[in-house]
Amino acid sequence: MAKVWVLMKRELYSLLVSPVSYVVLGVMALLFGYQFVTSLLSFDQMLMVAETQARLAQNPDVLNRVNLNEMVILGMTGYSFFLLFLAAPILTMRFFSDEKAQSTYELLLTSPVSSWQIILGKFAAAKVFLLLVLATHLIFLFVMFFYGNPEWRAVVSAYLGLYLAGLSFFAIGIFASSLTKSAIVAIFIAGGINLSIIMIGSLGPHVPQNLGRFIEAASFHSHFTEFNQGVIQVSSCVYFVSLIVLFLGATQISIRSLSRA
Amino acid sequence: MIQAKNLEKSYGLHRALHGLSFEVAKGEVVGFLGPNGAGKTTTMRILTAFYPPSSGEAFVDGQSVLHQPEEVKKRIGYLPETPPLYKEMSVEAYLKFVFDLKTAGDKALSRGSRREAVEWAMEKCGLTHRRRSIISTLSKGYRQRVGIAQAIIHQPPVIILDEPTVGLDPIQIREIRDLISSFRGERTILLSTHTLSEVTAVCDRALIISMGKLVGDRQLGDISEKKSLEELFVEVVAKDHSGNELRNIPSVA
Repeated sequence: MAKVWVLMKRELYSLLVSPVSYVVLGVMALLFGYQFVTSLLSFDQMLMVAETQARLAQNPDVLNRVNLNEMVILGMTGYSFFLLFLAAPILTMRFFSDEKAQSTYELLLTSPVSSWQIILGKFAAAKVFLLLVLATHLIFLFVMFFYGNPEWRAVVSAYLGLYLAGLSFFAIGIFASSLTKSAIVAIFIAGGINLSIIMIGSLGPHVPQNLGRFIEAASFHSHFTEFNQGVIQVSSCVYFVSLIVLFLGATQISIRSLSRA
Repeated sequence: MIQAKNLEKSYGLHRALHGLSFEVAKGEVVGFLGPNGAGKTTTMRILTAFYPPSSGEAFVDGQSVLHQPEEVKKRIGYLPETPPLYKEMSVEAYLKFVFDLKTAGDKALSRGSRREAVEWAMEKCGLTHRRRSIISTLSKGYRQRVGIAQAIIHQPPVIILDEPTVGLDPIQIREIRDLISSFRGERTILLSTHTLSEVTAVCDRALIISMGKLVGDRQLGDISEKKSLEELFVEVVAKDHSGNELRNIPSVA
């Protein structure tokens, strides 16, 4: 555990001194903020329309149709999922490709640490960085809870889903980075894998029933959507954890092959 | 201190090592001399437990590279041909990281031992005044010093240096050679090079390797041995596939 901690600190240091991390973090915060403002304005508009309708129909139930959770928060976490899908390959591109390019993998592999400790150190750094990304949402959540009354359980579920999905994207990015010396190639590999496991769900209705069910179960997006709609299912948790274990395991095979050359 | 027994290593169809055997005694400074592609880096990577041999066995300080790679890794300091540096870190931060990496989980270490080790390594390698410099801003000579500092920081009994002076200017080469010589007697050192002068300048003994085989083993105590080493090395280079044209040069043939 002490070795994982040492490796995590170093990886985090590299992430935090890299201008790329700040550009990605800044652009994500900017896009997120823009989306937040626009969805809040459209929510406000819908609320005004609903208030007028409720007054005219003298039916206050109309107002219940305008739901803060559904119309703002759900959209924002869904949008963050999309941002993480784009950002994770960029943030993880150097995790192993730089180790190869700078020959530092020779230092790691001739030190008394196992390949699993190296991978878990890097993944732990990714976890911390993801928390940092999600911390930029605190202002948004503060505004939501201060001025509105959202259903907090649904918010927790959506953020748990976002965290697990983000970690899966990071695990895929780490794996992609372990395959190449080039950071650019790593981005494309990670992007390709991310897109494939998201798009696979759309094949479901077009193939025979049993295969369709399998594809549905393997679809990244449907599992995230469950979390985002406030449903925490064990199967979805198992799905994301399995995905993370699968890609970190594949990374381990890739790293070990470096020293089997 | 180092024992290599019948080492073989193949990369696909290419055989890099053909039954290489040698021993290095405690405290010796041994030069591993051979033309490019002779198998020097492959041997060093096996001795550092970076990868296993295809067959054969090697021991460092009595520990098997095949069966106790973790123990071997604790006992060696290794400078690969390209110094393994995180260029975004400062010299001090990098050395602290390497110390932690090599010694994490070692309960025998006291709290101040990391600071002492980093100060010692920086002083030994002449880096104290550059401690806060970011590695990417350092010259090649200083980067090489940082590379050597990371290899010695945990005070390993065996230091393995892969072409430690390659690409440096003459003054930097002398500085690095002086640095290596300062470990004489304290540590067992195995360094690889393809230049004869390197071996005669810093080593007690030379192992000459060609096409994955040991072709010579010379003590460098007296001048006659040095001369025979020179003759042998020229012969080895000339025999090497890439060196065939050397025979046509009158002063060599």
